[in-house]
Amino acid sequence: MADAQPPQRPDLYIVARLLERLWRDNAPMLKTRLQVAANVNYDVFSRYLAWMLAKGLVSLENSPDGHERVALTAKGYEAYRRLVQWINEVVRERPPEL
Amino acid sequence: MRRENLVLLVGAILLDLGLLGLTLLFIFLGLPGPLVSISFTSWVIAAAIALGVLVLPKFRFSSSPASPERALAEFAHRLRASGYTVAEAPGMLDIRLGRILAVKVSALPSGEGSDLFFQMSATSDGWFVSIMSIIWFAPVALNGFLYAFARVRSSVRERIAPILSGGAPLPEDEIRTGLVAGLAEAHRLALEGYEAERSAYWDTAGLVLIGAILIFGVVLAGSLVASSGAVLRVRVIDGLAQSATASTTFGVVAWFVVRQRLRPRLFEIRRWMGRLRDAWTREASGGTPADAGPSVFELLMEASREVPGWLEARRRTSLSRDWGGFTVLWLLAGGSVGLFIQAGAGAVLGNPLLAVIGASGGLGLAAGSLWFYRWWNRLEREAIERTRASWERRFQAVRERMEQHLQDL
Repeated sequence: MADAQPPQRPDLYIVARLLERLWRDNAPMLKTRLQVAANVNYDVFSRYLAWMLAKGLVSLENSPDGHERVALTAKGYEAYRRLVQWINEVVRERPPEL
Repeated sequence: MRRENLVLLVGAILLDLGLLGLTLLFIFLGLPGPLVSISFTSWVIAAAIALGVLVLPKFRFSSSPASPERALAEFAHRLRASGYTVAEAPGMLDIRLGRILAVKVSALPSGEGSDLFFQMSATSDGWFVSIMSIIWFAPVALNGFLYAFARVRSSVRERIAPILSGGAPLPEDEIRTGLVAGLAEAHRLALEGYEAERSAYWDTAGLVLIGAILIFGVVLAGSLVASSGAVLRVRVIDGLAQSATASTTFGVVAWFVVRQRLRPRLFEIRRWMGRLRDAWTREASGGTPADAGPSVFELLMEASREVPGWLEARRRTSLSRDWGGFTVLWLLAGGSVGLFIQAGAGAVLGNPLLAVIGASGGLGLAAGSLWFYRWWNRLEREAIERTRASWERRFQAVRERMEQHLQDL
């Protein structure tokens, strides 16, 4: 996982899907659970996780059961909030606050 | 029954009895026809006045400690979280209460907070039904408006006001608020687009019916003129058989074509409405979508690509209600049909001058109406293209900004 190459230009939809899942669960998620919930293969998941870790959007936590879990950081929450705000303004026919 | 509703009921009965009495009095007195027709017209006038009196005033129904703008914004969110379709306009909310009825809510400053007022309103279907019923069924319309007002008022007091005063507090989570608002708004646009497409579908069905009736009449007249049999009864039966065959064939083929062309679009918008409604309900109740499904963000991104189509449908319907354009088209096409009938009459009566003038005038007006329709249609298409292009540019700009935002983190 640590060797995974982050994507050069991340796909907006995949990033949003991962952030939304973490936001919904409101608690650190098992990597495998997050991968299944986001509906991406292991390779893609690893690369995006590496990218999000590098950007500080998520962090890794060790849980007592020995499994690593992925947690949404405050920066990750803010990033997803901005995305939702922008798409919301597009749908609501308002000039986006860019 | 509430006291106010009882007052409305008694008022409606007195008004009905008064207008009915006036009409009967005019008939029994043997007054001339115009006066009797005036008494019938009084129903139409009374219905139109009733609609104005019930729709224009604003009635206070609640208050809020927040400023008017904040009060309306919070109210809009609470209504959406409760499943209501709400359109926001400056200083005003437009809330659908069903397929026909709607209510407008506005807020005015009062002391530290604001007072909230409601106004009876209607959906586009509701306004259409109101105007048609005033014209064709004025007595029914008059009573229908009073009933509609009682329904709107009781809905505001029993369903809407409690959402404002006792509803759940606004969620702290801006993401949840944003997703609910986006889904509710996308659903409203899809719903309005669907209603516009459905209206266009039935308008086209009406045109097919009118076309079939016209063909029936023209073929029957042509058959009667062309046939040379001695027995009129046989000529009429033959003519009826030919015209029925022609009009039925036209009706069936045209209806099939209309269904094939328009129904897939209706089904597609309905499918979108279902997806958005499901996600909206789930989001408002704090539910989680199934694993491996698309995110709500993706759903909103996809839906926003469909929005121009929904807006187009709405725009087409509003253009089809462009009374000025319709009047010109109606005058040209109607004049053309009238002149062709005149030409036919000239041919039957053996008056070639009348036939030639009628035919040439009819052809001229038919060409004029075709030219006008094409010009009118081109303007519409250009406007739609401009809207589409502008929407696409805006969508791409926002998407690029989102991607740049992720890159810059």
